[in-house]
Amino acid sequence: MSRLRPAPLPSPERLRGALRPALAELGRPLRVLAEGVDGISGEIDLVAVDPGGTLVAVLVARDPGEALGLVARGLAERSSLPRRAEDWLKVAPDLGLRAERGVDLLLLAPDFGAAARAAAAEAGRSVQLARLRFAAIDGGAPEPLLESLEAAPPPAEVPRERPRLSVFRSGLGEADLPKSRIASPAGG
Amino acid sequence: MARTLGDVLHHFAPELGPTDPRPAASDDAPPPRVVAVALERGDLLRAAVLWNLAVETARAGAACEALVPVGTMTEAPGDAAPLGVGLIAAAPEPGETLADVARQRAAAAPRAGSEQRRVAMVGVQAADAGGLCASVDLALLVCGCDAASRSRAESVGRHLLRSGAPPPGIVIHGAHTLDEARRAFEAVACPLEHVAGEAIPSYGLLVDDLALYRSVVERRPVGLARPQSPAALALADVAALVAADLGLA
Repeated sequence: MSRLRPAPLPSPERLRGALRPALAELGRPLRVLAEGVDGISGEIDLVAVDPGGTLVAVLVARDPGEALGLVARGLAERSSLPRRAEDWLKVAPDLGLRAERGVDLLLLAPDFGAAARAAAAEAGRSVQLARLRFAAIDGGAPEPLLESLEAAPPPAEVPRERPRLSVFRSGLGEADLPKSRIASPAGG
Repeated sequence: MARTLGDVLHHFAPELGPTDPRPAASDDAPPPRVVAVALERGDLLRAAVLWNLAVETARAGAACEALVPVGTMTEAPGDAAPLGVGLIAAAPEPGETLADVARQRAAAAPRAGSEQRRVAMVGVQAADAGGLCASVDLALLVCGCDAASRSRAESVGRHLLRSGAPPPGIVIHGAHTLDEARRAFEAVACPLEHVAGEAIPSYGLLVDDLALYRSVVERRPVGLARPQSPAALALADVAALVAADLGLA
């Protein structure tokens, strides 16, 4: 069994370098374009592009107490990026960027409280949260461990009322269904 | 009777590598439509749904193919392809996706006439579905009624939406009543709608999973083997909803 030893987050520069390969753990291949990009409220830790050409701004909070502020800061930074992306495309048209696809946010923090998660959920599909921890595995060098929070949101944070827009459709009637109850052999 | 896709995929159709020769397209017909079905490795049920839906689409008059990623097969492939629809294991070239392969193959496939539409049904591994589904015309989540299946479908759906794919459609399977299917759909659609900010389309329900499995073992799609069975009627209904939304009807 592997042994995990928690480690403090390294300096911002080292952290950004360590995050580059680790971002793939979140299931979305990202190509990092720049580190430490000046933003309107500080530095954007990483600016990346996904295979579809969507620009992704990665921002890191080093303390769980900063998570809610990180969401706000991310939204503020995102507001200015589309215009800058158009400028970058003029300078480097081969970046693979598609400015019309907008900007997604990937926000990393040691943890996100309920308020931060609710704020991110309100911001919609383009904001992804992930827990960031640093740990040494089996005595090796500390490395970042990322855990997406979108995959299993706490039930209280996702409304389970009837969908407002989505409507179940079927041309079948009850008489078209099998008469006997047959257990589904598939768990999935 | 536990079976995996690898146990039976060889019954369907030939495995094709990236260099599979195809005649070049020679007309200016509308581009092929690509439908993706998210599946797990060795996911026989969803592969069977994919294949049977492709056959139903072909029965409705479209030129159709069904492709799944290479790597799920353990035996040499066979060549069963009713109505010209096999379940083809294909390997994309580096830098291209299975959807690209499907689009190229569908565009190059011979058609019965200039009016015949071309459709490709593509199985994509759920883990890779995000990038792949961003470019398809429709992505389908085939979701059971149990909590674990709903949770998994919701998770894949969120992954798709984060990756820029259009809102995925949901097909419910394993329901015993329409109300059970409706509740399962709403349980998945509600949080996804919240994320997407728009409606999550419903593509009906499938019944009698055993008939779907049996269709694979017998190498005969449900719609041809038992056209009046509940499973066939449900498949036809799902295929009709898909065709209508893709403008094929």
